[in-house]
Amino acid sequence: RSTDRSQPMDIQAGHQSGSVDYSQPTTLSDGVKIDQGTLHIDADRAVISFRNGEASQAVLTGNQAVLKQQMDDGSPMTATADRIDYDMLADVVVLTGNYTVTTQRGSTSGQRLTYNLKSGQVDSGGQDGGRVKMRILPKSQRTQN
Amino acid sequence: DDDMQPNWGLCPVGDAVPAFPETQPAPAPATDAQATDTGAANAGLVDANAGATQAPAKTGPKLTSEQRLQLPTDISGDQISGIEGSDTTFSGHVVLTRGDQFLATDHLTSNSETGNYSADGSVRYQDSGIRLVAKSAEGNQDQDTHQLDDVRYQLISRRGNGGAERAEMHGSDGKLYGSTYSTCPPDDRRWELRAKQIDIDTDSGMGVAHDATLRVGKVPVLYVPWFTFPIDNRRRTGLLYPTIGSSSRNGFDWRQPIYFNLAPNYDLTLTPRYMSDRGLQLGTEFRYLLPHGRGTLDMDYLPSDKLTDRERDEEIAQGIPEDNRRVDNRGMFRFDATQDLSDHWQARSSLVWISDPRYLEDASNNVNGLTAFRLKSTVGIFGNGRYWQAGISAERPVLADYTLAERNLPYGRLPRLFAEWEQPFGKHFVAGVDTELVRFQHNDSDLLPGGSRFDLKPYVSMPFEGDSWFATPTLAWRYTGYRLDDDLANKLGGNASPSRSLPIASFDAGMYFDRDMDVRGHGFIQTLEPRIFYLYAPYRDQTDLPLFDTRAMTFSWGSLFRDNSFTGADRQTNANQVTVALSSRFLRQSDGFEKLVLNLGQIRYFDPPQVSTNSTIPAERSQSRWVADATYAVNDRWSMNGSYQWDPTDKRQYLASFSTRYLIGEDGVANLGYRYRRDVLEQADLSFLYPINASWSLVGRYYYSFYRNPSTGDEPGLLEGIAGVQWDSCCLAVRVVARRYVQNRSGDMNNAIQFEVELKGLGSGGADTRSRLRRAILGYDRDDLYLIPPASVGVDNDALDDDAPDTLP
Amino acid sequence: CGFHLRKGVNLPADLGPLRVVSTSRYSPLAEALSQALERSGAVPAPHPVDVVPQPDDAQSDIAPPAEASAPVAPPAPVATLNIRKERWGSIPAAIDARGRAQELTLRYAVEFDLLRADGSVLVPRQVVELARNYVTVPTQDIGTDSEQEILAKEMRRDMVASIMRRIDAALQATGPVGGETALPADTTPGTPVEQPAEQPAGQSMPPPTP
Repeated sequence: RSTDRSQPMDIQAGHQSGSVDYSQPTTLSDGVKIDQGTLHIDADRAVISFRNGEASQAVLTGNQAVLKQQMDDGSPMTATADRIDYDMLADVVVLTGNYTVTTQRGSTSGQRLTYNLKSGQVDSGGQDGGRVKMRILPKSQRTQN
Repeated sequence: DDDMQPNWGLCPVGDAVPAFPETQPAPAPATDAQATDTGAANAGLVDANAGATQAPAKTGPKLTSEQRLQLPTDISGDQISGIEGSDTTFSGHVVLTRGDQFLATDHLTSNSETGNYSADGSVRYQDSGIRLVAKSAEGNQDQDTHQLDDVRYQLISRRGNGGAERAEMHGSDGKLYGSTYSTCPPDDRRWELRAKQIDIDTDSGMGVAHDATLRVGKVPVLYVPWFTFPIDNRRRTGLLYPTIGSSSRNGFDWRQPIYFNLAPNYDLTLTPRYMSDRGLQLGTEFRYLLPHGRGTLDMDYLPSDKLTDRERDEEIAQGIPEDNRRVDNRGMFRFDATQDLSDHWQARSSLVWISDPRYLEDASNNVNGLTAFRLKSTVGIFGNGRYWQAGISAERPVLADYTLAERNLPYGRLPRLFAEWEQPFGKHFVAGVDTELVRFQHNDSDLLPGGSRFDLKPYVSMPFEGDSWFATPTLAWRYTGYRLDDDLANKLGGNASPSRSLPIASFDAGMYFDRDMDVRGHGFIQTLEPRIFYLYAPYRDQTDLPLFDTRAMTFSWGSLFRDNSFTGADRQTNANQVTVALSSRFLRQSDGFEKLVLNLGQIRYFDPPQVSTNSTIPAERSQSRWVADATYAVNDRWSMNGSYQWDPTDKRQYLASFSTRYLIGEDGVANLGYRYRRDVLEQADLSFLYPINASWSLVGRYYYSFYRNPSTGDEPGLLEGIAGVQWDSCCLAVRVVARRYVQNRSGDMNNAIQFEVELKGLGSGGADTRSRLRRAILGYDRDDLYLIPPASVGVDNDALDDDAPDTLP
Repeated sequence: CGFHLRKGVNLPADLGPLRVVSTSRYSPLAEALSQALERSGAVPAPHPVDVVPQPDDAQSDIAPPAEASAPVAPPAPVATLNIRKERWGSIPAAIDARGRAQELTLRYAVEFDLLRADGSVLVPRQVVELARNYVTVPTQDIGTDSEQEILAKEMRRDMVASIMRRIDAALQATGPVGGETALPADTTPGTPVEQPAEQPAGQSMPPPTP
């Protein structure tokens, strides 16, 4: 939800290394969990960089890192990919490597997808080849989940 | 009879709209993880491999639109961009699949919320009913509506293709605007149906064309405001193909059958028929099928037939008796049915009624329709078991020939009870009895009074047989008693209950010899089968017995081994005679196929036969005619057979018939026959279907009678002449046939030139020459020759239902 | 001149019990054939199972309602002589100058095959066709029907003889003991059968043109 931005973000990780004054990016590993409002992220490794005291970017990798979030209309959205780049300032998420985005209406999968959380703009495929696939569930199945 | 399926043999292999590569093999459901390389990198719209045959591409099972709405839609493309939850644009080899629907395009915009989509750039769409290519398409997946522009389409389950400026598909219905339809390949448009709008309903399998003009070649031939045609071959309620023709007797003749598919196991076909020179006729046919029975009810009704008034004076001039003349309201009723009553008993009916004897003559339009001069209306219950057969039936003849009268008809058998029992006891003893009780009643009972007859024939026989011989003595006793109506009794000498009884003894024996032979390197077995048949029956004076159903049997090979030379129990021949006969067969050793069969036989009379059906005693004779038959299969294309009967007593031939049949190529045939029967007929018949090449073929028949019959005034002349040429192509066949045939009972010949254009898959305009040729030239339809004989062709006098499992009514 | 008495050809010993099955249960042909086979040494199949008549091949396109027919115990696999099709037909062989039938041909065709208990082909599917001619006199038409009934009765007897002869010939071709080599099943239905018309106790084969 767009309101997640104003929620506190708590991060857990098995191991953390980085500088206290946030001048260096912090690297979290051994199972990373990030929660902010309805946003939940699970990944094996996360590298978070900061700009003037604010988390500005997070690069999450894993054997399919997972990003879950509730849309404004309350419907859930789940994105899994080998690598997730979350540019918090621009509110753009870039998923690369066998990504799959599952929403109430269906699912989209491919190799590379950029998803603008503010505008909802989705772009995928193109330069690096690889087909994009989308499955739209029939109306009857949509209301269930 | 069943119409012949159009033959697509001459069509080029390949589809009007070739199958899409993506749909071969079947579009495996796009699982998320599957690497989505569709491999069809070719940007070209039409696929290169033209080798795809007509077989419908694998598109998954046929789905109705409701089923489609329950299935997920899978879209894949090289690139995707758009707002989540609203318009998403795919580009680059975009493929959309849902159930049996398949859509491919270069560029697709889809809104998963509203379900709207639009695609442009070489759009290709296919589902289980239709396959098409278009410039652009748009529609809504949720309502399953699609609209495509500049379309070229092809039907999947039936041969039909064409184009349309715009196509609107809604579920299983399609509307093609400014469209064309044909079964011809796109590059060889022999004929084409152009319509402002064609509605196609793949669920019901019907197409309806509005404001359609039919073009043959470049020439517009026909304008039809409204025209239905089937797009697959299922049973469905609706209009069937109209048959349009014209003839001197009926004038303009339009039949439009309407089919009501009432239930899976019964249906109704109404056939209104307008004949400009006769009026409006309604034909109804109701068919039903039960687990243990089936039946067909046919009723035709033609109120106030103009033909009746038009030719009334001519009938009077010809002196046709009153009740043989045409009536005003004419019609026909027919009910053929079988119903299993139990494991052993079955009821069968073939009831028929015609309004006047000329009904069949006026309803037929070819020489074979005329042959029936008498119909038999019969109903009965028949049974058979391990050693017995029995039945009770009622039969009544119906006159169908105005030149005859009721008195020419046979007696009705109202009722007839019969039973046959034969049981073997051990290997060498068989006992049996044939018995029949019949009440004979003639339609014209004052002129021909009836009576009832009881015939009983118990018999015992002792069959002995080894591998190479058999011997069967039989002893029978035949008792026949009558109860005659008084007028008949007076006519026959006053005795109202005459009877006759006599013993009949026969001894049938034969041997089998064979030897191996070698003919041009092929091994054959030639058999030699001598056979004798001794018959003894004392003479009985039978002049006081009536003739209800008895006359002399047609003399043939079978007569040599029969214990009575008459067709009924009213006469039993006296006999002290022996038949000597010899048969020889040439069997091919590889599979036992009979290449050549020869038969020769004769009866030697020790006491001459003295019983006859007329008052004169037959002439003294010591031997019967020689009977010879031969059947020779030269090869599997050419067969011939002949039979000959020569009477040594008066040194004259009584039967000489020869016929040969040669199969030309895949579907050509030539028949040649000559038949001479003393004092009956002498005819020659040549008929052929000669295929010159794949497209052109000639048809011909020359059926000539040499026989002159002073009493009936028959003169030698042509019975039927046919000369025709056929041009056949993938989707269009043209036949021009000139015919000269016997049109009515007074023997007037009729010349007719029949022109027929058959638009294969759409029906044929003009006279249905094909089924007529099929009757005239045996083998015109190749499967008439082989598997099962053509059964009863045209309405013949014993109306054998060729589907009746086996027994005769 | 080389002729010798025909040596009998018996059904292969390993054939086992034999049953005659016909699509129509009211056909006396099946009964007559099983008696003829018994006379030539075949062992009749034990308790003959009630034959559920499958719809005749020429079944029209209307389908009987699905009625739960009495469950029939599946017959134990035995050798079966199948009468696949049996059809009667009568076509005019000659017409007179007025278009009336003068001579009729009564035709009777039967399609059969003989399978061993394991379903392998012993006698391939083939057609036997008989034809008898009889004259009808339009103006004096008494007795035509009874003549046809007599001819039909004789044709049934001849059909049994023809089928038995075809079985003998086929067995002879494969050697005395039930030959292992499968018969050349070349006469599949529909393909032109070499024998255009069976002619046992030869009757004049009419010119096939009406």
